[in-house]
Amino acid sequence: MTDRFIEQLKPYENKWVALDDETKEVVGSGQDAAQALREAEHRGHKDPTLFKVLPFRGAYVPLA
Amino acid sequence: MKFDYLKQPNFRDPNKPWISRPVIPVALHYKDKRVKVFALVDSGADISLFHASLGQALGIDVTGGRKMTFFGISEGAGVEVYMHTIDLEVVGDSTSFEMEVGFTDSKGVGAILGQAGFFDHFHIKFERDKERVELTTASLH
Repeated sequence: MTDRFIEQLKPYENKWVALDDETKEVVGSGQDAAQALREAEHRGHKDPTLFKVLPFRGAYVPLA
Repeated sequence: MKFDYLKQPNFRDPNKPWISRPVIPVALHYKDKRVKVFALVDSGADISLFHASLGQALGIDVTGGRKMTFFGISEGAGVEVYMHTIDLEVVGDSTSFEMEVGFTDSKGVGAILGQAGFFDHFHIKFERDKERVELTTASLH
């Protein structure tokens, strides 16, 4: 993943994003995965990959 | 299949080091629906867990599944998880396989690939020095 890819995630802390598989650009976002997917599909991206942008402030331990 | 770790900077404090995590693309299949998601390969998780909204996107009646309670490292009542059987495919692999996974509303869970089902199916080599994770299909028992 490139620095450009990572930089574009800056506005999406703690949100879900939908990423175009080829360009890796954010094509949808939302408070949950279904919302991000709906936004991407509405914009014509039928098969994006979803991703939860974790908090930036530190380490992540699931279910902590 | 080899996947580079996903690096994430600390945007709030650029002086802090970047964090790298073994995150890979997978596709979840349920009936005629397929949803792709980047998931954390987590050897410390007993099962695979996904946020409930991924289940909703797949058309699953999430709360209709078998209810279980899971605990993490923090104290507390744990989180409610609803179990469902789906097919999972690692993007880049040609096959999918059936496994039981949990869905939860917990904000601490995005997409996590844990031991039961996923680690049963693959030999997984974490190479933190190379920031890379490698998966090869395991021959079961």
